[in-house]
Amino acid sequence: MSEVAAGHLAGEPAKVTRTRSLARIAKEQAANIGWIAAALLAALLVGAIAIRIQGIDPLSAYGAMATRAFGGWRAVGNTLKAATPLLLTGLGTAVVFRAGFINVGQEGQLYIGALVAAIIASADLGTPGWLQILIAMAAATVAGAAWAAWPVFLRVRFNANEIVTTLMSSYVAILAISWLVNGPLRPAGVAVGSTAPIRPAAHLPFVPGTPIGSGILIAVAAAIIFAVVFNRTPLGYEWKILGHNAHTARYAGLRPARLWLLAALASGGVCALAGAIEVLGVQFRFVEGLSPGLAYVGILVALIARFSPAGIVLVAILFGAINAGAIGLEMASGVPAQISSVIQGLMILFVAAQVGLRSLIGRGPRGSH
Amino acid sequence: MDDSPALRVDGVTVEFGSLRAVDDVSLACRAGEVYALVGENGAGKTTLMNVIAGVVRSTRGSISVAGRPLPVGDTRAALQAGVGMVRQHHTLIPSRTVAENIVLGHEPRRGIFYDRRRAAELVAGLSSRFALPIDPNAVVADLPVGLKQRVELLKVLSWDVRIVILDEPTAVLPPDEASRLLDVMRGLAAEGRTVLFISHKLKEVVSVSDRVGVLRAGRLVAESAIVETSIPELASRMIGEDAAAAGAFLGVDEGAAARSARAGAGTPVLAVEALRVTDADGKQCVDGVDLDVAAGEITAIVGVEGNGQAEFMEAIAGIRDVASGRVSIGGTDVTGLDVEARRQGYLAHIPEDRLFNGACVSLSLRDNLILGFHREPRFRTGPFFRAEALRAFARGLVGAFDIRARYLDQPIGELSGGNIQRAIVARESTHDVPLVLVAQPTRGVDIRAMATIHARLRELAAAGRAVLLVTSDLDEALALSHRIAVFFRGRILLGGETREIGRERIGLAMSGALGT
Repeated sequence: MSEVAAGHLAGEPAKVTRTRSLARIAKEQAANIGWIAAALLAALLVGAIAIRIQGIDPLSAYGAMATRAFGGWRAVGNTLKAATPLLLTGLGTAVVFRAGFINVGQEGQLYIGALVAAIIASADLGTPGWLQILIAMAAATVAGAAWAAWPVFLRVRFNANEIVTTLMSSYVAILAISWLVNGPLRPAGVAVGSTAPIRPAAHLPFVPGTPIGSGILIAVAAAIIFAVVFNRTPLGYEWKILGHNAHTARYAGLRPARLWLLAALASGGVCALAGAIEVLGVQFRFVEGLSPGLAYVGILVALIARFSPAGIVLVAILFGAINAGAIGLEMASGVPAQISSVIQGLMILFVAAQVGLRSLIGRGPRGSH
Repeated sequence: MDDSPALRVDGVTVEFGSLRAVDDVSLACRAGEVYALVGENGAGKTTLMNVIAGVVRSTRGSISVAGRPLPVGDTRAALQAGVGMVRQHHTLIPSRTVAENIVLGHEPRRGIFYDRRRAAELVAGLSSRFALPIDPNAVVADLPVGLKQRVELLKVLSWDVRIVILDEPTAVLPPDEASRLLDVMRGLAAEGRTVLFISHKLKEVVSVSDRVGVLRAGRLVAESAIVETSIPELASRMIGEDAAAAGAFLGVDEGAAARSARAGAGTPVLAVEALRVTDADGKQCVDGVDLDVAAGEITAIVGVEGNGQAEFMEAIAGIRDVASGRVSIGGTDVTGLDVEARRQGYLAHIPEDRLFNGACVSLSLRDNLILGFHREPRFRTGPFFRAEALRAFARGLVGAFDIRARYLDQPIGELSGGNIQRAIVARESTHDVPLVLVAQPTRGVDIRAMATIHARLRELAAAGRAVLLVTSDLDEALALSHRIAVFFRGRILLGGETREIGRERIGLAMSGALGT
């Protein structure tokens, strides 16, 4: 049996074990990227059929998409702008899912952040623009975190299923905000539900000398912080234990209520930050229907990336490119921009199919005795 | 007696990916024979049995029953051909009755409907024919583990099988029920059936079987008539070392050695007073237990499973709420403290179910070894882990406890049961705390792991810790403990110094036959 034949770990020099494990990690990462690339390719192939049915040459259509997504600084700016909310809500998904708390209320958290940021950034605080931006983002983060906390209480106190409570919390938030921006908060003379425009000084600046919004920098910084917390701190370790086996966590004396609360606060905060950046850097006021389900796409991004922050950055940029590219495609050839949803949906399907494929290809069942 | 083989296994090989679990095994069994299969964990015993019973598909080789080849990987065909298996982990449906479980798959019908009454009659008939009394209308969930196993056996016998396979049938049974089961096995053989069984208990192998086969690393390395071999020889074949070294693993007269090494009655570390615990259904599962465990002492709790031992341990660990009573450790009342607070300086815990509680199977060996140590300052720089310090710590445990893994980042679930248990024992016994709770530490582990674990428990006591052990293996309790308490229906029915309590009285107390 393998355990008898395999080298005895204790007897080997420390270096060997370490190198081996690094090689294994590298191999696993390469395999993950390979699988995602395979899913993308498969999705593009099936998408090509859909495009072909409309009588358009898929290759030139995809060419137009790629140009619109990556051809020049402006295109890159659009791709990254589209990627930013997906990245942040992806992180907001990873942190709770890792801890075994299936929060799906990201969309509502994003809306709360967007509204709070819009209210603060449109008010005259008498502060410099940069300070107003910081206050708006901080307040949005706190509001989103607070909103994400109560489903944890319901779960811990009454064992209420968090998938239901968080999903409902999203509807409550979005509909309450809809009432606010159609009622008390709507400026006079505006037809659509919205807040007043934010002050020009409070617009999120571009990265100097480029057409790239600075939102992506905030999002990538958040990804780095999450990666460090996940992999380098006791908190990230305890989230992992709790997410993998709640019984072990309880037996070892970890405190699920506290861990879930921290995860939910982080999730709510980072998703609200996504909303704030949409307002401060893209829309410049809160408009009803601000997000066409961005946070749900963020959940998918996190699932595809298997909750790894680095993976989420990559997949979010990929999805941002597909979204940005699809708009160019529509303008160039008349293929509806919804093709981006088709391709992303197919990717999810193929990624989900991989779980089954991997077990078929990779290895058979494990030996018992 | 008919000499044609009732069962022939011919060149069977089973590969899981690159792993060869069973390697070209051939054997033959006669009708009327009890054949025991022994070997370490991971030697391939269960896999081989699964192939014979049609649960696992072999890569190569064939099985034939009474000269007729058996289709591979088809349990139903195997049952119809007369091969049935009683599995180590029960496969009954807990919410259904005994009769429903037994007839499942070949239910008596009236028209298109299930015939409940005839099912009950069939089961009553089987029960009296094989002298295995059971109430056909009892709900399986309400039965004690020994009776559940009886249902499993009747379920297999209901197919009128000629070959009965049992996988570690006595592992969960108290001594008297185990010996009764061995009688039943002999009875089945006397009727001309073939009984194949897997066991880690060499004593019972020698007492019940006609022949024995030894599997090591998937190969059948020895086969012999039972009268021509001995326990030390079997043990040495299992671990592949000479008989003298194997003697050490068998721990002959370990108990006497441990007791003589005892440093006199120490001060009480654990003091439990009038502890009552109520389970989720409102049943009083621990009913007023008083128990002290002194420093330097191993106290063993024995009893038939389900008499409150598991709940008692969980209550001390803080995982389960107590209804009333007091738990003190080192003079401090910890009754109101949660698990985290109790583990901080009071106790460590080797839990009963290692895969359910003790380990995260999908996480790495390193992640599992550092659990509980991960907040210590020596492993951190500010808020951040010192990854090298954690690895060095984990590597130290791997070396000290002989945990066999390919690398520290290997998911612990890929290791054998014995190695997972060694890892948990390593982790928990390294905590600097006065009390160590240990539940079923060697269930299902091979003798080599058992030896490591027993040695470690003795070291802990010798170093002045108090060790509270729950085990359903009476031999283990007698070998390790200074004192024994027998649990029956949530109470201690018998307690005292191990050397003064006789095995017979313990057996009586376990079955509730002993008055207090």
